[in-house]
Amino acid sequence: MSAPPAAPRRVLAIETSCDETAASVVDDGRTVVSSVVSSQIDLHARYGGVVPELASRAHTELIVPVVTEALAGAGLGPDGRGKRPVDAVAATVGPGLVGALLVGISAAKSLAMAWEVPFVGVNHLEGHLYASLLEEPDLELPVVVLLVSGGHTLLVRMDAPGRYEVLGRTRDDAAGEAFDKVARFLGLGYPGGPAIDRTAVAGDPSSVRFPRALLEGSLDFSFSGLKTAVVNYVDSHPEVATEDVAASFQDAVVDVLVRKTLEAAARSRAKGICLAGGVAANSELRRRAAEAALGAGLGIFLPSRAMCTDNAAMIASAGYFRLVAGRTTAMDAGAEPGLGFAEPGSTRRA
Amino acid sequence: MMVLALESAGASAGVALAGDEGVLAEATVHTSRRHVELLHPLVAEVLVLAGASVGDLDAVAADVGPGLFTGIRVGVSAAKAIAMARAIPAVGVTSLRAIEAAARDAGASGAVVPVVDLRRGEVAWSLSGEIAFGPAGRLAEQLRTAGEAGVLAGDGALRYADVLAGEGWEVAGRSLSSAPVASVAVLAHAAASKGATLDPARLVPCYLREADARINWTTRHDGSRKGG
Ligand SMILES: [Zn+2]
Repeated sequence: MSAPPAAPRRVLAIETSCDETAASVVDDGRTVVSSVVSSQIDLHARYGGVVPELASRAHTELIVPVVTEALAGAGLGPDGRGKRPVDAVAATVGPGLVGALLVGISAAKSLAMAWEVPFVGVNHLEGHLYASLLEEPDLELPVVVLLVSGGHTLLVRMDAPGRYEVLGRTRDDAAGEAFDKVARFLGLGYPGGPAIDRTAVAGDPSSVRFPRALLEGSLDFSFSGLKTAVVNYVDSHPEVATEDVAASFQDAVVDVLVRKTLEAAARSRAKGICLAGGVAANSELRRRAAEAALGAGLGIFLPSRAMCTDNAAMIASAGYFRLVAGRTTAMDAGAEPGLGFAEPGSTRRA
Repeated sequence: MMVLALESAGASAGVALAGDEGVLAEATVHTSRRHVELLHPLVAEVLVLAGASVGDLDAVAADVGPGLFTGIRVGVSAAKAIAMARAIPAVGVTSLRAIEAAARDAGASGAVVPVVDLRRGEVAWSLSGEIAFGPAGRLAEQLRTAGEAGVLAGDGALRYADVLAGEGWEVAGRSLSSAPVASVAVLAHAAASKGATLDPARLVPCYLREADARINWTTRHDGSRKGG
């Protein structure tokens, strides 16, 4: 692959790792020109979770209209023509649902090939780290990012774009998974995070003292015991108010997340902390993280809710930094559904 | 008129380029896995072999199935995106038509019934131009009452040969187990020449079967799921 063209560089990204079909155009990795997210939440809600085959079918139907809209938002036609054509096409290659990932990867490689520009495979988790940078270009690094979603709970120190270190991760359930499971157990519906958030507002967080798995000395997390504690408590106290259980459960999760994030920031001498991922939209987590950061004299950045949940702008941003580092991806790249954070992902270079 | 065709609905990944004189270049890898890894390098290779570039294309076609859902989506998504990006139309060809055409090219006379394996005990077939799907036994009944004789082609015919073959019906060999991409290209070229094309957004898979939406929480929470 020849050297990338001179700056400013424009990246079109596609994100289809779970139940959102998204496309976005971002300039220089920092300026969101357009961002389109088509959520399938209604499609999956009655099944109480994401149905992979339905998600893959919906992505296949939506991919052209969603990309077309993102291009239009950047003043480009569906054929990519316009004042400032894209310089690269990025797509999430993992982690995620394999059938869903394949739709975005196949489309992105095709666009790159048809426009004769590089293809850049992006690790979805890495993408989440760029949410804060997109909304706060002057963010002072290094920061500790708490990435919490339905599938992941990670503490990452970000020194510079493309330079990170994982400080902690969950040993069992992801934070969002715990929210989903407890919400389902309490009959609060799907998705679980927002349902618990809403219900907890009317409850007393100090009514039940659920255990905090602090794993002394480690920055890792564990949430499976908490989920079991909730089930056991409700089974033995059937009279307890659902609002109180939701508030107490949320309190326990948020408590652990915030304490570990602060500790990670202190240990790594970070300038501030950022939240990322779907669970970062939780209002109690946002409030307590901000409070704790201010108390510790740390910077805090809370991305907008739209930037916390899955979107393609963060993939475009991560793709841009890969592009400028010369880390484009070969056309024989596949989906990497089990991709972890430590692995760079799509290491086969063009 | 130059038409690029993609095949990924069955046990092969293939790309072919058809011009007015027929197939200009084609490449196929016989595997039911890794469609997404193989398809784009094959496109690049076929274009080079034919001395063409993406800018020369007048339409892009895909085998829309029936067949393997995931493979179909890889091909359909790729074809749609190339067509959109080059502002050219898309063409959908069913696997059944392509297999039938390939069987005729291979010299089959009389009736040709393409039969594609849909897994879970079901097959899809085309009899007298009508597409249907169900257990192989149902097709066997229809073949007996059809009163004809001929060739059964496709991976479904091979898999259920013991149920389907006999009484004048013969099962074609492995070379027709999935749609040869050259047949997809020739059919697509004929369609495009007549103007029978689609806006890229309207190229859709032919699944036949509804999505299985039964939830299995134990398998879905094995770490393969993510969200937010
Ligand atoms: Zn995510």
